[in-house]
Amino acid sequence: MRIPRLSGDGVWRWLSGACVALSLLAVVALLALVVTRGLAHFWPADIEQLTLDDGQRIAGIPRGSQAGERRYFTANRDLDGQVWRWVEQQAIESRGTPPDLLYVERRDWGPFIGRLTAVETPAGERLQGAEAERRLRRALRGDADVTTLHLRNVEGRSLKVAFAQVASLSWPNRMDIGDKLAAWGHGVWRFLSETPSDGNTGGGVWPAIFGTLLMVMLMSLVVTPFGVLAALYLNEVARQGPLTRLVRIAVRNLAGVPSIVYGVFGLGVFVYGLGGHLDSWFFADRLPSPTFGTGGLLWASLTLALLTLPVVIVATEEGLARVPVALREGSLALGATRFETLRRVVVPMALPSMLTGVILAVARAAGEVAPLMLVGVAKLAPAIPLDDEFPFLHLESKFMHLGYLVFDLGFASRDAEAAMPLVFATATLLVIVILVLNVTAIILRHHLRARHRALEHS
Amino acid sequence: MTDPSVASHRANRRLRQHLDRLATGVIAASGIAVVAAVLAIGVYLTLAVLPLFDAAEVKVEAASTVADEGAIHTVWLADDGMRWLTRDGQLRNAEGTIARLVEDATIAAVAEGDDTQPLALGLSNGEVRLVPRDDRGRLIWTQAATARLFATRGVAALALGHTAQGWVLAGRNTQGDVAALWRAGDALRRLAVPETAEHIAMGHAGRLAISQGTQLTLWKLSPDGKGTALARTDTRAPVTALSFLQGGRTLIVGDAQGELRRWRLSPDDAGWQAAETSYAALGDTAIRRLIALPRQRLWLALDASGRMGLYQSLSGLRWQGQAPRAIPPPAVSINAQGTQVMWLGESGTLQRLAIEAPHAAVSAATLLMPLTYEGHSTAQWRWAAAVTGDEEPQYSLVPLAWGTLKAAAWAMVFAVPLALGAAVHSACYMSRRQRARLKPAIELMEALPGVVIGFVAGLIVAPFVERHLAGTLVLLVCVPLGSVACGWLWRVLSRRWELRLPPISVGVGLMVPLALVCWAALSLSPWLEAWWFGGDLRTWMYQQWGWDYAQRNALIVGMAMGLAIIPTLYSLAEEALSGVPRTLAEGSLALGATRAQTLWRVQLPVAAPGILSAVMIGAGRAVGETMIVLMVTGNTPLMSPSLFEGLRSLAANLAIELPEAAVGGTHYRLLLLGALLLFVFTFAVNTLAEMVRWRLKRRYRRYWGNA
Amino acid sequence: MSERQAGRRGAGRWQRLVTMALALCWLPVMAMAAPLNGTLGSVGSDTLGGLMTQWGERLSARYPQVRVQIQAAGSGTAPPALAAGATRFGAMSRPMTDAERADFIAHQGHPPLAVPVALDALTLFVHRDNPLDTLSLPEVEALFADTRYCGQVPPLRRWGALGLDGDWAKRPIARFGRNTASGSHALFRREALCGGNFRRDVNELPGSSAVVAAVGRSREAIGYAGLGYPTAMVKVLALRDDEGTPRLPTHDNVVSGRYPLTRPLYIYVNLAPGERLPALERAFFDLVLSPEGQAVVARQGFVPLPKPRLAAARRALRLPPLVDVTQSSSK
Repeated sequence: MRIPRLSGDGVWRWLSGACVALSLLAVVALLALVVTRGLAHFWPADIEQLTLDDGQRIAGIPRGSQAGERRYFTANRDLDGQVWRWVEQQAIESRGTPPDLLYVERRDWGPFIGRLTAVETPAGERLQGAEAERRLRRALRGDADVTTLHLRNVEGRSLKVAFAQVASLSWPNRMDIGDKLAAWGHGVWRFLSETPSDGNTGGGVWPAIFGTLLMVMLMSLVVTPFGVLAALYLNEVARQGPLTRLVRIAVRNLAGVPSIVYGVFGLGVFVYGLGGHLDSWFFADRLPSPTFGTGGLLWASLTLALLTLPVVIVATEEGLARVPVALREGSLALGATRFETLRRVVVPMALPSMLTGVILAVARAAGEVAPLMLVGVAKLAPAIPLDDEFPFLHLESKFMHLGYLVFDLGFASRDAEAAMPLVFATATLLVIVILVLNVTAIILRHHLRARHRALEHS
Repeated sequence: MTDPSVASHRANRRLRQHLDRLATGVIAASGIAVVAAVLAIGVYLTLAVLPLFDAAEVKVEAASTVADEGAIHTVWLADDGMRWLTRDGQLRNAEGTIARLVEDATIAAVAEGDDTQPLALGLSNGEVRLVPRDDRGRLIWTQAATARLFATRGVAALALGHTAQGWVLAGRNTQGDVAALWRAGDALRRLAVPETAEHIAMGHAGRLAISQGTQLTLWKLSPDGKGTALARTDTRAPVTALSFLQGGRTLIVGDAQGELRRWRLSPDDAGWQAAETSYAALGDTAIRRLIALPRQRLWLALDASGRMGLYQSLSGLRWQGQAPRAIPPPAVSINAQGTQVMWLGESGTLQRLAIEAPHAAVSAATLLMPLTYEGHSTAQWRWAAAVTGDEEPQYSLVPLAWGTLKAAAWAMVFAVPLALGAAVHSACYMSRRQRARLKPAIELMEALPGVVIGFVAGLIVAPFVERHLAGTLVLLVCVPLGSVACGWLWRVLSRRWELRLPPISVGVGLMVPLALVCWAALSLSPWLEAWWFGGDLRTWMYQQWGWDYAQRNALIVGMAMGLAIIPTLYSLAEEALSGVPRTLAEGSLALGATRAQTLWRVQLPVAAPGILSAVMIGAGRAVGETMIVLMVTGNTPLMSPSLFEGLRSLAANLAIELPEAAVGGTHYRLLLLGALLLFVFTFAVNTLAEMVRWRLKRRYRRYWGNA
Repeated sequence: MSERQAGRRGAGRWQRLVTMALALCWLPVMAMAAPLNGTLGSVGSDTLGGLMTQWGERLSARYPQVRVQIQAAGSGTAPPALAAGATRFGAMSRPMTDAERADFIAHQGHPPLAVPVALDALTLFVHRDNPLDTLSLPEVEALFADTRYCGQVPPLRRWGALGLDGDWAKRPIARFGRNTASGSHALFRREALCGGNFRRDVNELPGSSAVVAAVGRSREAIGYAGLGYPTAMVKVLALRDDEGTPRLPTHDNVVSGRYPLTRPLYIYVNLAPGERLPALERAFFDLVLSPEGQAVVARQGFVPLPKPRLAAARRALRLPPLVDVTQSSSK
C-alpha cells in the first residue's frame, strides 16, 4: 500500500488547526481547573482514618500525594498546631472511613475533625452517645438548645467547643449522595450569602460580590452618559477634520493604556488631590480620620469609569457610524433639528452598540484588580456600603472585590495552601460573573448586527 | 384663524432651535470635557514627574549678625529659636545662658551625630563632654558627662560613628595623636590608635579613616582595643579634607589640588577599593571642608578660593556656586532633614544655607547607567527603594524596563504563533458558520480576568513546571509534530475507510488528540529526564550551560500572559485576514495555486500590515499587564535574558510600591515616571498600530473598488 | 429621697444579691447596646493582616453598627497613608523609620503613637524535605544579600555550601521573601543583612503566605516570613545565636529575645498629645489589648504581649487597667 503523504497544504492546515486547538485547550483546561476545584470546595469529602505502623492514628481529608507521600488535611489547628499532615504511603497500616467521624467548621480555630462524645444542654444535662447526636441534630435545625459540644480527636485528646462557635457540622462519611448534594448546595449558598470570617478563610464572600457589583454599577452610571456624549460629540457635533481624527485615535489608544496607569492617576488626582480637598472643605471636623481623602467606592468607580470610557466611546461611535446617512438626511429634510434627529433617529438606532459598549466596559471593569489596589479595595470590609443609615449609600467607604479577594486569599491569607480551594471558588464566581456579562454583550451584538443588516438592505 | 397656529408653530420652532443649540452645546461641552479628562492622564503624569529634574540649589540666606562672635563656637537653629555654644562652654539663647557645660577649659571641637548619638564637645584640656539624648532624640543638657580622650594635649577634632550596639567617638589632638572612645551598652572604653593624623573621619562599625600628607589609612577599631589597619594607600596630592557620608560606608576625600574622590569599603572588608569615582572638581585649589548631610548621601564641598559645590555620591555635582564670604568654618550645624546648614562667619555674620535638592539622587546616570553601589564590588543596574532612608537608594529604571520588555517579548513568543495560526485557520480553513462559532469563544478568553490567570499560573502551573520541566519543554516539540501526525493519520484512515471530515473543524477536532499528546509527553518526561539528563534536567542545565532555573520565571509569565493576549491578537489578525478581498484568493486558486501558496503568497502579504498592527497592539497589552506579572514572577529586578529566570516589570512595580511611597518624594515621583513611560510607550505603539490599520483599510477599499 | 432610703434600708440581703447579679448580667449587654458607630479603617502590614481582620470581625460582632475596613498590603503602606491623613490606624510589623516619622510630623504636626499589640519573629524556613536544620546569621546574610555587612561568608550558590550532601549538594538555592512594602522585608534587611542590599534574585512575593506556599512547593527553596505563617509544608529553621546555640522561634525564645530576629508588631495611631482616643478607637484597642484580643494573637500563631508590656500599652492609651483575673470574655 502506498503511504499517502501530507501535502504542504495539509501541513499548514493541521498546524494552524493545532493553534486553534491549543488556544481553546488552554482556556478549557484553565476554566475546568478553576471551576471543578472551586465547586469541589463545597463537597463534603469523606474523612479517612489512618493507623500508621507506629500506632499513630490520623483522621483527615486526602489532598493529593507526591513522591510516595500523601497529604492529609487534618484540621484541628488548636490541638496539633497544624492543619496539614504528610504521611508516608508505606507507613499506613490501615485505612478506613468510620461513619462517626465528624467535621465541624468553627468560627475561631478553623475546622475540627474527630468524634462527638457528649453535648451539654442549657439545663446542665450532659447527653452522650446516640442521644447526644440526636439532640445536636435537633439543635442544628433550631428545635433544641445545646450549649457546649464535647469533642475528641482520633488520638483521644478531647476539647470543648461552645455551640455558638459552630458554623456548620456534618458526618460526611455517613452521608449518601443526596445528603452530600444537599450539603453542597447549602455550602454554596453560605458562600454566596455570608460575610467572611476567621480572617477571610471561612464564611462567605457576600460583601465581595456586593462590592464588585455595586462598584461596577456606579461605574456604568458614570461611564454611560459621558461615554455616549463624548462619542456623539466626536461623531455628530465636532467638525470632521484631522484634529478630530487625531482625538479619535488618541481616545481609541487610551483603551490600550495599562490599567495600572489609570490607578496611579486615580490615586494621585482623585484620592490625594480631590479627596484631600473635599475632606478639608466639608469634613474638617472628622479629621484626622479621613472621609474622602482615602481610597473608596467613589474613587474606584471613577477610576474604572475613566479606564472604560474609551471602550464605550469606541463602541458607540461604531454604532453611530453604522446609522445610514440617508436616514439622517431624511430626518433633517423633514424639518427636524439636529438634536431631534439625534434623539429620535440616530441614538435609538445606535442604542444597541452603546449597550454593547457599556456591557463590555462592565465586563472589563469587573475583572480589573490592579488599579483597585491603589484606589480603595480592602482586605476586609464586611459591612456592605449600602444600609439604612443616612446617606444610605456610603460612597466613601472601602469595599471588598472578588478579583482582589482572589489575589488576597491566594497570596496573603494565613495559610495559602488551605485557602486554595476558597480561591478557586472565588475565582469561579468572578469568572461566571464576567462570562455572563460578556455573553450578554456578544448575544446583544449579534442581534443588533442582524437588525442593522436588515436595515441597511431595506 | 391660522394666526395663532402659525405663532405657536413659530414659537415652537424657536423653542426647538434653542433646544437644539442647547443640546449641541451640552454635547460638545461634555464631549470636550471627557476627551480632556481622558487626556489629562498624560498631563498629570508629566507634571508630577517634572520636579524630579529640577536643578538642585543652595541658597545663601539670612546673614544676620551676632555679637561677640569671637566667643561663639557653634550655632544651632532649633524649633524654639537660635542657640549658641560659646567657646568657654556656655549654652545660650536670645534670653541668656541656658546651661554651663564646661568649667575650666574651652571648647575646641564639636561632633554632633544623629538622634541616637550624643553631642560631643572636645575641650582644650584633652577631655570630652558628652551630652546624652532622651529616647526621642532631644539633648539633655543637664546630664552632660565627662570622659578623657587625651592625657595632656587639647582636642583638635572629633568624629562620631555608629556601631551595632552604640557609637564610637574618635578624636585628634593638637599634636596629631588619635584616640577613640567606644561605647557599647553602658560601658565606655578608650582606644588608642598608634598613628598621627592631620584629618580624621569616622565611619560605620568602627571604621576610622585618617590621613597624614598623602597617606590615607583605614583602621578598623574594635572594642577589645586591638584596632587593625585594614588598608593604606597613597593619594596623588596631600589630603586636605575627609568625610564619611551618611551610613558611614563611603568616604569622600578632598585633596590639595581640588580633586574629590569617592572611596568605597569593599564587601569583604579586606580593603579599600581604589578611588574609582572622581567627581567634577570645583577648581584647582585645595578642598578646605567637606560637610556631609544626613539624607540622600549629599555633601557640600568648599575650596580655598571660596567656591562651593553640592554633590551626591552617585549623581555627582548637582550645584556649584560661591560660598558665602567666610573663613572655612570650624563648626557647622546641620538640621535633621539636611536642608539647612549654618555656620558663623567672619565678623559675626551668621551664614545660613538652604539646600533645595529633594531629588538630588536622581540623574540620567543614576537612572540609566550601571553603578557601583555601596557594599558592591562591580557596577550593576539595581532597583531597590530605600526603606529606612539610611540605605543608599538604588534607582535604576533599566532593570524594570528590561523586565517589562522581557515579559512582553516572551509572551509574544508564545502568543504570536498561536494567535496567528488560529487566525489563519479560521480565516482560510473554516466555513463561515464555524468561524462565527469560534470567534466569540476566543473573545470570551479575553474576558478572563488577569488575577485568575495569574493565580493559576503562579501557584499551580509554576510549581508544576518546576517539577516537570523536561515534560513542558518536550511539549513544545510534541504539539506541532503531534498535530501533523494527526493529519497524516487522518489521511491514512480516511483513505482506508473513506471517512469524511466531520462537520466540526480541524481546530476543534484536534483538541482531544492534542490533550492526549500533552498527557503522554508529561507522563513520559521522567523517563526522558532519566535517560538524557541524568535524572534532573535543571541540574543538568546548570552543569552543562550554567543556567539557573527560578521557579517564578519568564517561561511561566510568557505562557500566562500569552494566554491573556491571544484573544486580542487573534481578533485583530483575523479581522485583517478576513478583510483581504476574496477575489484575490479566488484568483490565485483559479490560477492553480494551492491553498498554502495562496495563503503565503497572497493573503498573508496583503494582510501583513494588519497583522503587524495586531502584534503591536498585543505587545502594548503585554507591556502593561500588571496582575499576571505581579503574581507569576518573583519580581526580581534582574537583567538576564534567560527564559528560566525571573523579572520585575514596571507595571507590577507600580502596584507593589506606589502605596508605600511617601507622596511627593523621590520614590513616588520615580514610580510615576515609570507610569509615564508605560503610558507613552503603549500610547505610541497603539498610535503606530492604528495608523498602520488605517492605511490598510484604505488599501482594501482600493482593492474592493477595483474589484 | 426618704422613700428610696427607706427602700434600701428595707431591702434584704437576698434582694441586694439579685440586683447585683442582674446588674452584672446586664453589663455586657449594655456594653453591646452602646451606640457605637462609624468607620474604623486600617492600612498596613500584611503580617498583621490576619490579626487585624480577626479583631475587626470581633469588633463588628460586638458593635454591628461599626464598619470595619482593613487594607493590608504591607507595613510600608501605612506611613504614607498616615501622613497623608488617609487613615488613622496604621498596622506595622516594624517600627517607623526616622524619615517616616519626620514626614508624619511635617504633615500632622505631632508624632504618631506606636502601640505594640503582639510579638513576632522572622522565621526562616525551607522545604520540608530539606535536611538543613540550623543557620547562623552570617549564613543568612550570605544566602540573601549581595553585601557583607554582618559577616564574611562567601556567596552560597548550592545547598552543598551549607553542608548538605548527597543529592542536595548540587541543588541550587532558590530564595523567597517579601516585597519592599513589607515590614518583614525592611526588618530582615536591617537585622539579618545589617542594612545591606538583597540579592537581586530574591523572589519578592506580595504576601507572607505566598512565600510559605512557594517554599512548600519548591524543594530547593528557602524563605522568610512572620511567625504565624509557616505550615506543615515547610520546615522552620533554628538560628544559631552568638554562642552558637541553635534557637527555634518558640514562644519562650521570642519573649526572652533569645531568638535573634524577634520584633514587636505595632499599630500606629494618629493621636495628638493630650487628646483622648475617640470611643470607637478606644473600643478597638480595648479589645486588642484584652485577654480576648491577645488570645487571637496566640491563635494566629504569634506571641501575645507579656503582661507588663500589655499594661504599659493600655496606660499609654489611657485605657482602664485589666483586672488580673483571667476571665473568658467570649460568649
